[in-house]
Parts: sequence; structure tokens; C-alpha cells
Amino acid sequence: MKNPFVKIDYPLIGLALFLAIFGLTTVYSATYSGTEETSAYFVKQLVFSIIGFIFMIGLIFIPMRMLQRFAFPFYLLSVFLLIFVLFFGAKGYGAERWLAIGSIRIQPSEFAKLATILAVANYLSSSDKNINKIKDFLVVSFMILLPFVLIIRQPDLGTSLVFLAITVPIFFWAGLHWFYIFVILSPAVTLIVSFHLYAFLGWILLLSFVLYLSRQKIPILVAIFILHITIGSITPSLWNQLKPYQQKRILTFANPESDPKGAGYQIIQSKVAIGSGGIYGKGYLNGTQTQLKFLPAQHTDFIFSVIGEERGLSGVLLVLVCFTALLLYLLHLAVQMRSAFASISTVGIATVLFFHIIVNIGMAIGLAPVTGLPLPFISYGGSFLFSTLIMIGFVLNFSMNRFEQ
Amino acid sequence: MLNRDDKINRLRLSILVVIIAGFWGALEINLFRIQIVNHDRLSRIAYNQYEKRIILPARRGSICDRNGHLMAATSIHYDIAADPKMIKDRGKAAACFARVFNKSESYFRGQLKKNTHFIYLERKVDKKKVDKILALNDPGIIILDNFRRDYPFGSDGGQLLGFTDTDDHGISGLELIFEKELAGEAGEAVLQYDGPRRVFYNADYPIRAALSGNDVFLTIDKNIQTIVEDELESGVKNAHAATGMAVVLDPYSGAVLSMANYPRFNPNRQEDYPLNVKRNRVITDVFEPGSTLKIFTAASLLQDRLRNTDDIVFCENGSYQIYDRRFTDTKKYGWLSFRRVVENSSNVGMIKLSADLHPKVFFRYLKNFGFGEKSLIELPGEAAGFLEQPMNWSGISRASISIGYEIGVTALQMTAAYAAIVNGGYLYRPFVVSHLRTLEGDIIRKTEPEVIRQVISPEVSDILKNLMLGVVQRGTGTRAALQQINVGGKTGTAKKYDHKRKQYLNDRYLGSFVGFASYEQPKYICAVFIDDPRNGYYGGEVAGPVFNRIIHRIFNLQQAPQLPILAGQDREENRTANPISDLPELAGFNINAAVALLDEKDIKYEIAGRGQYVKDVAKDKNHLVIKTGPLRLNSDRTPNLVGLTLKEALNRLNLEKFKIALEGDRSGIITMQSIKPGTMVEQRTTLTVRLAN
Repeated sequence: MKNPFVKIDYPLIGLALFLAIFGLTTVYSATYSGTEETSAYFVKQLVFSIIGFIFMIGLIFIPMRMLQRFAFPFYLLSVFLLIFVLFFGAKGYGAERWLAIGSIRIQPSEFAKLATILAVANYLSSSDKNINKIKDFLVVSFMILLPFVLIIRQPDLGTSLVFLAITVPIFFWAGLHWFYIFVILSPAVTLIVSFHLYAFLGWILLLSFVLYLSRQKIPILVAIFILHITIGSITPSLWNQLKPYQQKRILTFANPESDPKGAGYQIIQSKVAIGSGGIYGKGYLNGTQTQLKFLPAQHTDFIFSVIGEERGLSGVLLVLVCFTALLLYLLHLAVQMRSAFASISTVGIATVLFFHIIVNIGMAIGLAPVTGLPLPFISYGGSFLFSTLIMIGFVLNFSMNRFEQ
Repeated sequence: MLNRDDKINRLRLSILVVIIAGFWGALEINLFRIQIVNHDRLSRIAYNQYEKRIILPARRGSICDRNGHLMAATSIHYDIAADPKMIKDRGKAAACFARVFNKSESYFRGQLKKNTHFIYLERKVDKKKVDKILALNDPGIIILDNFRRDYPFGSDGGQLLGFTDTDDHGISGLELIFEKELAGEAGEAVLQYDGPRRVFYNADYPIRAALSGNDVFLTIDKNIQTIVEDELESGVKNAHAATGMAVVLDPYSGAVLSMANYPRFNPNRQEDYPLNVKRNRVITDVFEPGSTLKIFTAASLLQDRLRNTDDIVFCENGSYQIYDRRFTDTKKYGWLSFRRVVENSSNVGMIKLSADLHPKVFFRYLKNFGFGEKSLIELPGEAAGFLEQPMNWSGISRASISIGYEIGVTALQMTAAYAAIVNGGYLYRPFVVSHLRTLEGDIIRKTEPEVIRQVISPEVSDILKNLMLGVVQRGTGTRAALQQINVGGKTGTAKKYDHKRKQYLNDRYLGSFVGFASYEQPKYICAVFIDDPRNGYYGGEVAGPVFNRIIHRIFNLQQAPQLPILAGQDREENRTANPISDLPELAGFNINAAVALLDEKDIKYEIAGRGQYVKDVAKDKNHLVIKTGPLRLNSDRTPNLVGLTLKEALNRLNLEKFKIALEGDRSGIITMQSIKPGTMVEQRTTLTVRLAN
């Protein structure tokens, strides 16, 4: 390292900085009380941003090898904290997901995402491991499912889903055979089509065709086929055994607008806010829905609605373009990286960000269930902002050392 | 181990890029849909959510009579509703409702169990009961207040007052014409709601307070209105008639004291009445008045000095033809004096008396009395009536009009014109609104009595009053006569015209009586019109008694049974005339005409004196004594001669009083007279007139 500043990835820092500042102004508006007094939320978020950026820049100066060496201990620490929080966690919104250290409350699940990605990438990067081997596949799957289960017990469905979401892209990037990816994803399809006879039959036909093409061993194919038939035939009767309120809860999760007074209220308010913003928005600090606090959780989960209302489609497009540029840039870096650990980690980080962005914005415009996933860089929330900046810091480090093995 | 092959990596990259792009596209399409396509709809939802415009209704002004009795007022009443899901103590609430509204407890219990957020429990509840309900202090009870227009006297003056629609906008009558003044101006408050449903006033939109409407004070006297409505109703019922109208007017100001229509109309339940009952026919309906108009013919003849009340006319035994039109009387009259023509309402007599009345002159008088023009009273839908220009009159028009046909009038026009006859000749503009009063008590827009013009002289007015006294005392209007006070009036029995068949109907009439009371001090003009009576039809029969009852009750004569003293001479004349009621009044007749009349009737008589005219008739056992004397001039005023030809002027002048001196060309028109018009002449005087071409 002669002069580290030459190799620093300035575009990435620039994008992160812009998004974070944009997020800060939005948090300011979302928590604006109409008085001169600056909201405590904004100040807190500002402090976390500054600390986050310091840590992010600091990560650049740590050798990549050292980061890789600490990946597994970091993962173990996270898992320990997740277990710890189950027993000693502070209550927040009815779920034990906070860990109080002095006056600071942190969310271990936010850091578990990064730790899991790094640990899995570290495991798969060693030359004797291959994701296509059944043993390695199971180990990696266990490493991901362990925090997933711990987090779903909190319960924090949204965050736990992130762990499922990173699985497939990481496996895919690590070189998992397309057939196994298909095997992983296909049961979900079977589950959904099982309610419609012709769709189910059509799907089974397609499944058989794919299995035939795979040229795998016959017993495996038969086992997969029987599994799908079983899932398909059991699901409807399982569904019917559910109590009506349970069915309703699941349906509402899938389609919140079917319950306009409950879960749908947030979605409707969010759509109203975004829709009434129009092309150019109502102006900063002038969003009626925002300033009159019609939006639920408008500084956290529904912060996108604030942007939609006050800055309109133009502001929303700007944010989306920045996010897309960031994701594509991360993938571009992942391709260039010589280190498998760095490359897989970067894809994992990109997946986490992507999943958060898609689910959060989809939720705000009524396309996705309300899961409580925050919008990276923008939503209020110290732990998440901090962990996001740390993730970017890791990528900055990988980017600087991209030609290192 | 990660595959390091660049080619495979690039494939994987492309797949991920496509996935990202796909999701990105899906988000963009939806954002476009929400922010562009559905923008207006969602904006409206947002607006409705946070802003609520509340109209603060203005108090609608009241309508009061001249003494401040409320005739139309806005009262508040309450609707009680509940949100069954919010009710705290259902049993207690149901018990309380049952007690207050006198219904079963189980009924309310059932209502309060309904699965809804809003249910009406009771409507139109008064304040007392509302207070009892409020005492429950239950968050689930909803009280809604409503304003409602109330007419405390029901149908009294219903058509005059008019009514309002459910939004309290005036639809007819005074409610309509004074809509702007009564309505005031609604205020507005803009409330803002926020997400947690807290309400606050928006500083950008200060509350605009409602401006109360003004109160309208009428000239109507509620007590008189009630009397008139009552008596009109019984009059119409007694006559088995279809409808009726009545107006009472103060002759010395034109103030309308009462305006009534029958059938009655109760604006409290306006929706129950057919449209034609809601109409104020006193001002909207035009009809041919018949004989009540003769008084204006008489006024024209007297004012223009064409006739004196003692002039006699041969009434052609009740049938008289002009061109193809035959005019008839109800009785076969022979010779009648002008006075008796009016008293007996002889059509033929009046037609023949007005033979010299120039159409233009006649027209001018009628116009001056206000016929053919709106009176401009502040009521909606007033009709002008019709009066044809003289150039369009046919050969029989003058004759028809002189007895009240070929002229269309409204009941109000007729009453106002009679006021001019009685009050010394001044036509006042009739008015029904005396003033408006603001909520603070300031009086605005006070109506002052307005003299439109003087139509006849006070002297002619006195003569006409005297004629009308005669109508009541011995003519067609005897049923209108009161024992205790002297009243005057004129009857009318108009045949109704069938517009479809274009002919007068022989069995359909409009009976009317227009009179004044008292004779000595006219305080009231009262006009009564009974349309299509079936039980009798003469105006004197069907309308006269109504007038009688109205005046009787207005004067409240039971308490004051004293007999007013009449001016001596009139009284004398009346006494002497009484015994020969089957004869026309002969006083004033040319002695030859009187003799011819008496011969025809086969009545024995003797003539006393050597005068040319009958001065008095007295009954002496079985024969009459006719006292004779010179023609008594009942007016020695100098007429207005300017604009007349010499011949016309000589016709108009009493040559016993005036010696004419001429200046200028005899064939010209008089441009100047030496004595001012209206000057009383005691002795024979020289009147110099200048004529010019």
C-alpha cells in the first residue's frame, strides 16, 4: 500500500454520501414538527451517519486478509448476540430485537446479515470447498438458516426473509448448478399453483420436462417429483384446516389492501401520499400527508412515501436511479474482483441492499407485503444505517484490493 | 471454489442485471401509475382526508307582521342518532331513550345492537329532550342539529309568505323575493385533520363568520289577516264557490293590512299542496272585474265634468244593442239618475252615460288609476293585467270597459284603485313590507308611503264615496251594510270568459265587493272576490256579506255599539228616498223625465214648485210630492280647459257660473285660461280663455 488514497473507490463513496444526505433531509422532513426546533430523530440520524462514515472510511485501511480472517469469529459473535437478545433483549414494537448497551440500543440482526455473508463467502472461497458438493451445500445452508431461525423467533419476519433472499444469489454466484437452484426455487411455485388444478397440472408437466432434461440420477428425480406432488396435494387441505382468521392473516399479508382499516390502512395512506405528489411533488416540508402525520412509520418503513409526496415522481426517479447505479456498480466490481471471498461478499451485500430496496418500495406502492424492511441509506434507524455503511466500507476495501487474489 | 472463468462470470452478471432491471421496471411502471395516472384521484382523497370545509349556516331572518308577531321564523330542531359500536352502556342508554321518547326499551335496545356506525334513533327532537339525552354523557350518542323554517300561524297568509325548500332557500312569496335579505350569508370554517385525527383550525383560512339574515317586517296586521282568512273561507263555503281572494288596504298609505287566498295554504307542509293553491292569486291572477269597475267610469265622467250624479238616462228596459253586441241588465230599468245607475249597477245606464266619454280620456283615467300596469309591490309574480290602447278599441270596447269587461285587473290593483277613489283621489303604491331590521336592531330599507299621482279631485272623491254609500244603503250592496257604522262599496258580478270557446259563460261568475269603512273616516279598503259561486252569484250576495263580517270584526263592534252621526243633508236625502225604494232616485231628474217615469210606473204624483228639476220626492199617503227647483250644482270648480277645443270646453263648463271671454282664433285649441283649474267659483265669473292653432 503505497498511497491508499489513489485507489479509493470515489464513485462508490460519492453514491453512498449522496444517498445518505438525501436520506437525512428526508428524515428531517418526516419528523418535522413545524417549529424551529430540530427533531431529535434528525440529530440522532446525523450522528449515526457521521460515525458510520468514519467506520466506512476506516475499513479501507484494514488489509483484506485480516477482514477475511475475522469473518468467522464475527459470525459466531453475531449468532451469540442473536441468542442473547432472545433472552435479554429489549422490547420494541412487541418483538425482542434490541440489545441495550448503556444508552445505545443496537439490533444484532442487522449485523448478522453482514456477518453471515462474510462467513459464507469465506467458507466458499477456500479452494477445497465446492457448493455443488452436498456436504458444503448443507454446511452453507446451515450457516444461513441458523440466524434466520433465531431472527424469526424474535419475531422479525422481514429481516429473517433477507437471509432467505441472499441464499440463491450467493449460491448462484458461487457456481451452484442451475438444476439445484431450480430445485430450491420450484417448491415455492408448487405451493402457489396448488390452489388451481389446471395451473398445477401445467406446472407438473413443465417440472417433469425440466427433470427429464437435467440428466440427473433417476432416484433423485423421482424423489423430487414425489415431493412436488405431495406439496401440491397437501397444501389446499392444509389451507382449509386453517381457521378463517389465520387464512385472513395470510391473505392480508399477501394483499394488504383487502383489509383497508387494518394492514391496508398503511398501504392506502402511502399510495395516497405518493400519488398526490404527482410529477414534481408538493415541495420539501410541504407534503400534507407527511406533515399532518397521516403516514404510518413515515420516518422508517414508509419514508419512500415522504419522498414520493414531497418530491414527486422526479425525486423518486432520482433515488431509484441512484440505487440502480449502486447495485449495478457493485455487480460490476464483483465481476472484477480476483478474490472469491470479496466477490461473493459483494454479491451478498448487493443482494441485501436490493432486497431491502425492492421490498420497501414495493411495500410503499402496494406491491409487496408490509414487512417492516427499511430503505437503505434513507430510513431512520441507527443500526441499519450503520450496518449499511459498514457493508459499503467492506466493498470499498474489496474494490481497492480487487486485483488481489 | 468460485469459477474464475470470465465468460461464465459475465453470463451470471447479465442474469443478475436483467433481474435488477426487471424489478426496477416493475417499480417504475407502478410509480407512474400511482403518481401520474391516479394522481387526481389520490390527491382528492388526500385533500378530503386532511381538509374539511364546514359551512356555518346563517340564521335566516324572520318575517313579522306590523306588531312584531312572528309569521315565519327559523327554529332549530335536533336529530338523535347513535354509533352502536361506541355506545358505552347500552342498557342505560336504551332505558333513557325509552323514557324520553315514550317508546319501548326493547326497540332502542335492538337499534343499539345493530352492526353499523350510524343509526337514527329519533328525529325532530326539541331542546328539552336533547338535554336529557346529553345528560347520559355517552360517547356513542350523536346529536345533529338542523334548522327548519316554521310558520307559527299555519295557513294565515300562507301564499303571501311563501315557503322555502329543504335547503331553506325561498321558493315563493316573500320568502322568494326577500331571499337575499332573509338568507344572510353563510360562513365557512376550514378544519384540518391530521393522521391521529386531531382537529385544528387552519391558520391559512380564518373562520368566516355567518352573516345573519335581516328580519322582514310587514304592513300586514296578523289579527286582520286571521279575520279575513276566516271570513273568506266561510264566504267561499257558503257560496259553494271554488276559490276566493280578499285584500284589506289602508287607503291613506297603500299599506296592505291583509292579503288572503282561499283555499288555504299552510307553508309548514308545503309539499302537501298542489301548485295552484300555493300561488298568491291576489297579485298573479288577472280577471275581468265587471261592475266594480263602474266606479272608475263614474270617476272619469265626474272628473271630466261630462256628467253630474243627477243626470238621468233611459236604461232601455234592460237591453241595449251596440253593433252586434247586446248589453243587458238584471232588471228592466227605465229612466235612472246617474246615482241610481251606480247604486243599481245598471250596465245599460252606465254604457249610455259614458257615451260622450272619449276613449283616450277614459283610457287615461283608467291608466292613472293603475290599471294595465304592475303596482310594483314587492312580491314575486305580479301580473300587469291588460288594458288595450284606445287606438285598438273596437266599437263596443268603451261600452264593455265602462262596465268592467275587456279589461283585466288583479285583486290588488282593484283595491289600490279603490283606495284612490276613497282617499281624495291619490293613488298610493300598495306595499306589504314596512321595513327590514338587522339582527342588531337597526332598521334598514323603510318603505315610505308613495303617492304615484293624483287621479281625481277630493270633491269627486267625496261624490264617489257618497255613491258607494248609496250602493250599500239601497243599491246592490245592501248585504254589506252594517248596523253600527256606515260603509260604502260597490258590487260586481262578472261573467267568466271561456277562452277555449271564446264566449262568456252564462252560469259562471266572479262575484265581488269592494268597499271601505267607515264612511266618515275611511280606515280600510276591503275587497272580496268569490270565484265561481254556485249558491247565488251576485257580488252583493256572495261577497257583500264577507265584507260585512270582516269589517264588523275588525271594528270589533260588539263592544262599541254607538251610532255615528252622519252629515245632515246626506242623511235627509236618504230618509226621504227610503219609502219609494221601488223607484229610482228622482232627485236631480229633469222634471219631464221624472213625470214620464212616474207615468210609466203608474204612480200618482203632484208637482210642487216651478223648477226645472226635481229637488226632492216625498211620499204623501198614496201619492208622491215632487218638489222642484233649479239644478243643484255639486261642484263649482274651474275645470282644466287647456288642450281642449272651444266646443269641448263649453261642454265641460257650467255656463251658469262662467261667462266666457275669448281671445285668439275660435277654431284653435285653448292654450291658457284666466282662472286656475280647481279654483272654487262662488258667483258667476268671467273666464277668459286664449285659443291658438
